[in-house]
Amino acid sequence: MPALLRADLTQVLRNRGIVIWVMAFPIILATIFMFVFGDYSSGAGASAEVGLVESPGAEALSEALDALAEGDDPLLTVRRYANEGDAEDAVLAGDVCAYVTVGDDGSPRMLVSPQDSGTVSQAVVQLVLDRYQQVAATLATVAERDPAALASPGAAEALAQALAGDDVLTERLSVLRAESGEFQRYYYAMLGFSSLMGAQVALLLVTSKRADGSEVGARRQVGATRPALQLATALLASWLVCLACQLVALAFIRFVVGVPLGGREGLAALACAACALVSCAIGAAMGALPGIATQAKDTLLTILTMGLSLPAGLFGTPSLELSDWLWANLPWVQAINPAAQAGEAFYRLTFYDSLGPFAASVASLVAVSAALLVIAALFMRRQRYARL
Amino acid sequence: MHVFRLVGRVVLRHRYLILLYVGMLACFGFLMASSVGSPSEGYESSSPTVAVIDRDDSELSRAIAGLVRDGGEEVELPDTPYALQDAAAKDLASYVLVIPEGYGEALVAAARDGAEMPVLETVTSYRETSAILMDERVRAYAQQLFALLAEAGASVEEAVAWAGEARQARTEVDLIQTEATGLPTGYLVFMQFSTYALFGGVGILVASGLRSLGRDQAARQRLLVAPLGTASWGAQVVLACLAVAVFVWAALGALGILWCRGELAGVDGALVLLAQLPLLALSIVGAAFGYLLWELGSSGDVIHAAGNISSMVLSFLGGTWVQQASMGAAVAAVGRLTPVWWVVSALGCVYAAPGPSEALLAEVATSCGLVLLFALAIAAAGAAVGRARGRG
Repeated sequence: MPALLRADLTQVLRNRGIVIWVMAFPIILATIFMFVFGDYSSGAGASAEVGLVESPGAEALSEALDALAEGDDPLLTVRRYANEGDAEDAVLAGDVCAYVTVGDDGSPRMLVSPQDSGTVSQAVVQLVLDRYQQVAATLATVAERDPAALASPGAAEALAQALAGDDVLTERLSVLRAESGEFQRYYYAMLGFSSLMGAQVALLLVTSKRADGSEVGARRQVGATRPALQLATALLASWLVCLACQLVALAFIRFVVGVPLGGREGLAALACAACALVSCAIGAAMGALPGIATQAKDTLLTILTMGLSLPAGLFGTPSLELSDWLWANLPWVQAINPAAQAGEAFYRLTFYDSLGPFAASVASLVAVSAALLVIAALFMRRQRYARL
Repeated sequence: MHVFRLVGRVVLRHRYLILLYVGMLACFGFLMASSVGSPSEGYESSSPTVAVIDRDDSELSRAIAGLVRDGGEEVELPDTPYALQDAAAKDLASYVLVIPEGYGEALVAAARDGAEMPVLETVTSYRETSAILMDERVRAYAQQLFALLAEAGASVEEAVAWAGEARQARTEVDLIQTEATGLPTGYLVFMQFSTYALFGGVGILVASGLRSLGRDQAARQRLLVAPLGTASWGAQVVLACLAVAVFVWAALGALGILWCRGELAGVDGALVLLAQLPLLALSIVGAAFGYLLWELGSSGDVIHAAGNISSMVLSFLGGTWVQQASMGAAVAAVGRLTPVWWVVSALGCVYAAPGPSEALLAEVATSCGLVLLFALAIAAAGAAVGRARGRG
């Protein structure tokens, strides 16, 4: 068995495709992520540029906006336009995120481009305008319902000041084991993707042992070594290679990129072992499928890898949103998706106090592996004698 | 034109690759476009997912909780540490407001007697921007209640009622009415995702096709003894590469229009055509890249690896997966050295435009010109490598 294992490992390491896809690709992808995300700016802290159409009655709003445009880190940058036409052109050209006009009753109206609506900057401007209006509306309501409250000198000013004040406090609680970031999910999704890419190792070794997989496989099947032993060593070699690749990728994103694992690196290695197992199972099941050419199996495996990685959230923001939607609406789809569960295992391990969710993900990976290995065994058993 | 026809036929015979790099990637693009949702008629501000854990259950706390529920899409959350972690880690709720027990009484005491101001607790996910905006709304509303209690001498019931009335005063937000209809966002996402197939897919198809032609001994021998000049041979190979690029571009373009036809109804056809021009230019870059890989004598594994890895790198740097505006200066500077950057930039210009104009045409033409320069440079490198290898 050691000789068989050594031969299988040599065969894998001599395959250039395996070396590139399973070993190098996750590291290349993680490096790209590190490079792009390391310099990312969400724009949340940037000043929102808004246009104001100057008109009689807009003075009070103009003053209020000017107050927010002062200081070293202003919330708004206000540009003034003489008429609506100029302001509209500026919005459509993208110079300002929105423009504001003031109606005869003194209430502001905000206009945005139809091709660029719902942005953060617009939400900031809307928030400022809402607060401006609500302060005025509160004063009007008090004056109407309880005029005596504002009868004393300076009462209206004091109420206006209190309404615009900043006395109320909110405090952000830190509930996660490690600080969560928008882009950490990409790294975990990448680990899920790389675990599926590892299925190519098992596919290569299984097809090279199967009588209907290749000419070499046909010769091996009539050799002195039992086919079951050959397949067992092929799966063991695949698992070892996949595990090594996963561990290298994990070490890279943990120590080079700096992605946190919540101080649970040992358990993360256990997750790698489960990911490697699922890789072997997928590759073995694909390799055992009868009546399909090896090249077609290769293509099918690539489609499967990419297809399962898409709802795991690897391919950008829309892909992450699809992943979130599936978790919220069709969680069973994600539960049986090994790419999603692999990424989720690292995510849960990092952020949750309880190890229950992590254990559920690992159990799901093991269950999927077991099911696929049973399917693979059935196909191998049925095909072996018929082929020979 | 025998060589042209032969090369084209051999390349297009790689049905698995066409299925993988055209069919599957088009499906991905469609899925992504579908996740964007259909365009709305009016303005829709971003609405975060929110949850409230009200441990006080007083009149004031219920009023604040109501504000949060009205301001976002509410999700039910049990009051457990695990549920809070789940909400924050998975963004089940971008903003969770925890109102501590006794908050209402403490706020009244702070307003009337100058006692210490109580603190509202929040849990936010990694989508911080929408959470910050919601937090600002909560603070503004609670400040209104505080001011009414402190300065207007209102009772708790009056403060809640008056602040509730004032809350109805919202700013009217409208979309600017333009004569023409711009491109829908879903179609833009589809086109952005097709950049992967147009560069990597075309490159892999061309390189794999040319490689298998070279491997076919009988065909190669017949080609070698054919009365055909080197220039004619080269020109026909280049033409075949261009034909493959146009084939993939047309296939993706047709699938995109077919899938997004509902959203595209009413959009000026000239805008759609303008958006397709940079994509056509990119497919030519892909063909040039495939030609270079073939001239380098790359094996099948290397072709697939180079095609996919470079597509992924270019997609990232070009702004397909992460918006160009959100990239830092250093990444953006590197991104500008890639063809996908100019394609995405041109697509962004077409998307932002309400209708076709000369200025837009000039902008798109400039970007296409730059993209074609990349194609020219890569093809020239391929030709130089081929000549050097031929001499060797």
